Amino acid sequence: MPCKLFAQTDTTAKEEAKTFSPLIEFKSIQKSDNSVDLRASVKSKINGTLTTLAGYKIEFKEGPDSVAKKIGEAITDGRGVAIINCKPDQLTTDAEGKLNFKASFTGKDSIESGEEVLAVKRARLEITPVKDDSILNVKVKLMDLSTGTETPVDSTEVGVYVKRLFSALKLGAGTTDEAGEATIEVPSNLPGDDKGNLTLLARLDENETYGNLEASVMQPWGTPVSYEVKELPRALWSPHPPIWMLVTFVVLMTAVWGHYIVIIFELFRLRKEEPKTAV
Amino acid sequence: MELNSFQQKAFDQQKPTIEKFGRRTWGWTLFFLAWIGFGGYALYLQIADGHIVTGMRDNVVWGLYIANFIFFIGISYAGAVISGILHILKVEWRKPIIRIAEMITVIATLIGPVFILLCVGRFDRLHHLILYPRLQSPITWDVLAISTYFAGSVIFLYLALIKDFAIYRDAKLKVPKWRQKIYKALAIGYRGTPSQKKHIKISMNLMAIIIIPLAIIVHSVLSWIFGMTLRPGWHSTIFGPYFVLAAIYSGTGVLIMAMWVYRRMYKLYDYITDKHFIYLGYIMLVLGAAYGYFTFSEYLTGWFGSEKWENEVLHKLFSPSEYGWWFLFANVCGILLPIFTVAFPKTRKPGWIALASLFMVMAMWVKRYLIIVPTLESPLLPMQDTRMDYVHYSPTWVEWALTLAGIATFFLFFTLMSKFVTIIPISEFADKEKELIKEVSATTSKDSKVVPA
Amino acid sequence: MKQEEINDKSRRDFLKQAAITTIAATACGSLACSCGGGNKHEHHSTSTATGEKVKLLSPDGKMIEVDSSQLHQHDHAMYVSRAEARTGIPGRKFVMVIDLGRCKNARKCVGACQKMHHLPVEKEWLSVKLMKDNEQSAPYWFPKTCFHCDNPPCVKVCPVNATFKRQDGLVLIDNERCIGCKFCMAACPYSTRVFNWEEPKEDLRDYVSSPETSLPSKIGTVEKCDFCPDMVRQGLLPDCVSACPNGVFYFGDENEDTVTNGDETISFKQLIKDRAGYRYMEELGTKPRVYYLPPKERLFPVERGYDALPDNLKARFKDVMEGEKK
Repeated sequence: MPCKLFAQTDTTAKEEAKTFSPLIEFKSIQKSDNSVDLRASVKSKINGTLTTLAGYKIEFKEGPDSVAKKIGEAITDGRGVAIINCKPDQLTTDAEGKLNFKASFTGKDSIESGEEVLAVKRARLEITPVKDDSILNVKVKLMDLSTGTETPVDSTEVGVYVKRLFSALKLGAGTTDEAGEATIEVPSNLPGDDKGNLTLLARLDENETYGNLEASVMQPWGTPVSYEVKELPRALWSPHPPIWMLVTFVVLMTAVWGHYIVIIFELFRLRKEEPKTAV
Repeated sequence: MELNSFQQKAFDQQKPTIEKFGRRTWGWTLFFLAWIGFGGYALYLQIADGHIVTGMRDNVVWGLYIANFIFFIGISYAGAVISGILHILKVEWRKPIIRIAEMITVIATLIGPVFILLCVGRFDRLHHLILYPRLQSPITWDVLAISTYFAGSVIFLYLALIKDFAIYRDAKLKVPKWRQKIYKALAIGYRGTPSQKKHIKISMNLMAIIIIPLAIIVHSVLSWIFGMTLRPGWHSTIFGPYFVLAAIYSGTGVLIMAMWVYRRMYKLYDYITDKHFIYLGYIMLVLGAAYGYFTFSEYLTGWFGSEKWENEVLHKLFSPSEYGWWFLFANVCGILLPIFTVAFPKTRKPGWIALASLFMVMAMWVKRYLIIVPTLESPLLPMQDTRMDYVHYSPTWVEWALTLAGIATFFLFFTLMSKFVTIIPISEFADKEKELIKEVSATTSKDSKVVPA
Repeated sequence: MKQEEINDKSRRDFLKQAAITTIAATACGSLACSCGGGNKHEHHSTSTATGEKVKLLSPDGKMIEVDSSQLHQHDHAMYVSRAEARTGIPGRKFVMVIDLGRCKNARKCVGACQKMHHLPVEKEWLSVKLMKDNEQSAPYWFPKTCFHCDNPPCVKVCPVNATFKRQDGLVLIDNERCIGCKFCMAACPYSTRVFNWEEPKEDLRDYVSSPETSLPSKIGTVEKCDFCPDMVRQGLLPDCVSACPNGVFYFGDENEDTVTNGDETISFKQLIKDRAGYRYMEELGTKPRVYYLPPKERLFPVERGYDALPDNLKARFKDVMEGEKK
């Protein structure tokens, strides 16, 4: 959304006929609703500096190489990142139960074209809240879907996070058992939003087989933070002065200008008293 | 308006000055206007190109303009001392000089704030001060205090002038009709009736009472523009009283200088006597001693405590390679010179006292500069800047031109005023005859002892 | 300035509405026009819709669709009304933590800030100083932003309320209100404010004026680091934070008790507790919102940041470094 056109127009104008190759970072995030986020970020080493490329179109394709279909496209934002979400019905798995994706960048100005592929096994991560008296836990379940049936995945570390403004704060991690489940405790005094809601995330990051998996759930387990817009208190640094200051000012001003008004009044009386007969 | 013999003599002597606008006056007027014109060109450049044409930069954000502002508001205290304090104390010898004193007040209070306008980055937005004021800011206090003080000084000056306007109105002066009309209007029908006299007396007493606390507040508020910040050399509790005292002190100096100039120019030796210089000299001595005490206390405390940032500023003030010589000049000429000039009978004469006052006033200007600039050149975080104009402040010709234009405006207003009203107030001598009779009878009784055989 | 009346809907809803309305309309903030009291501005005319829809992230983290023609307009597409710019982002209290052990004076933060705010190379809202606390201690690189103090000496002295403190902790400047008296510059003990002594060299007239972007620069007014609230409204970290190659800057919300440098996300309270976070010149009583982590266990020797500098920058720190070599 922010459209900072980092460097590209300037630098590309300076360079004559020199081309640069793009570095595409491409990853997939399989969600708990069976959809998949595709995230591609494009950078290029222009004149020795690694520059993010914003405002460039990335095309995403889905399926094995031979039958790859266009599944969507996006324009890289100010951070050089393009994201699309693929619905389950758009996805096809190959013989091994893997999802294949390709992100291609057609190249523009002096940036060459490039592409990246990835293949991940279909899987799903689930997160469910479990409240045990006053102890707050989440249960995560990791399942492999590549065979068509849900197979639990064991001995894999899954992290639990709470969503924050710019990123996610790690609360803990657990290793899945034979049932593919792990229980991780959630601290009880985390600050939430104005209603005390927390968005808890379970994440499997950079797994060789499955790529990235994510699941989220919202629970009112946090302490509420006031979103109320209040007027700033009377202080030296706020728009409104302390009462004593206001009072002092009014008293002083009234005292002095009051004197002036009395004097001007006296002068008017003086003028009125001018004797009618000229001296 | 009937005049007694003393008044008639005083009036006859001064009539030519307000009737004639001679060649000499034209000469001075044009000379001052030339300087003002030069300043006008400098101002145009400043508006067109921005404040980059001055020497002020991100560290030293206030320079000559603010020094001038403080200086002019400082010297405006001449009126507060003479008209205010001496009026309440009913000191007779103040009478010939009150007009000069009040003129200094009004004119200086008029010119001082102009320098703030020059220092402000966006004076096309000054109305924001009225539309969106914040009461907590010392600048808001300043705006209110100075406008109140200015109004008060104008009222005070005018009150003292009413009787004289009546005299000019009735005297059939050889002046153009439009001036006659102005005199008549400004005299607001004063005919000297007892009731009218009472109105003026009440008004003047009220004004004299109110102007003293007002004067204290105004310069304190000005000092708090510096005192309320967290900078070394500024964040000192002494600033309020220090500035008030410095103002009264420098005001007295300017008054002495003005007296000397007018006395010479218009041959007013009968009215501004040697005694005036001596008495004002004594006042200057006392104020100088008090000012010296404050100065000593301020720097001794800073030096003794030897806090890091205080030391930085003190180093700049005492080091010969930085501001050391200026600091020496400011203290020697500002404190010691006037005290010793008045202390020794040999130099307790109008000429010497006026000369000492001149040096003292210059030293006070330097002192204001030394309060502002060394502190700003010693920020709490290291500057680590290679741009010399950001590290060290040196005023540019634009700032000097506008400073000189301000001083020229000050003198110009004085010149023009002295052509409009008499320097020595005529009306103040209404009771002079009665006094003279008293004096004569007193001296006669004394003389009877000294009559040689 | 009259405060906008805030209706019963929660602030979040209002913001979401504002986000979608603003982006869907022109990128120049119809809100800014209607509520700001007649701010004059020029802007590029909106290009005709290309029909291509692009998915973008709104401040709430929701996906919204926008015509791709809306994108190539300006930086800082998130404009808010002047009243909102004075109130702040509800529920937040921004805080920054700077890890002095990691800084090697790469100056990527300085460059990113200057690029984002269209500052000339000589003007630094964020500067890196070389500090040496006492004769025996080792010098260290000290990036200094505005501290957005909770007891700001600059706000106290502004006569026209041009610089103001917000509920979300930020201290911003409305450069349409500023009269350029420079009292705030004299009052700030950290020398963080800079002045526009001349007309800005870049033509910034196309930018809608907003205290949140501090653009366009106006001659005769004061400006300073603003913690990039326009970026924050879009869920993005300020440029200095993301530009730093060593993760020196942590930025976040004290209410959420989380700060992040883009890679690591950590509890703010825990970080300050564990690493002995302090505030610079705490004794001044200004209550800064920027905390420093002491330069213990440095990532780089201090010379790394000095030797690689061009000569004009080296000259700044020569005194400190020469003193070191003795």
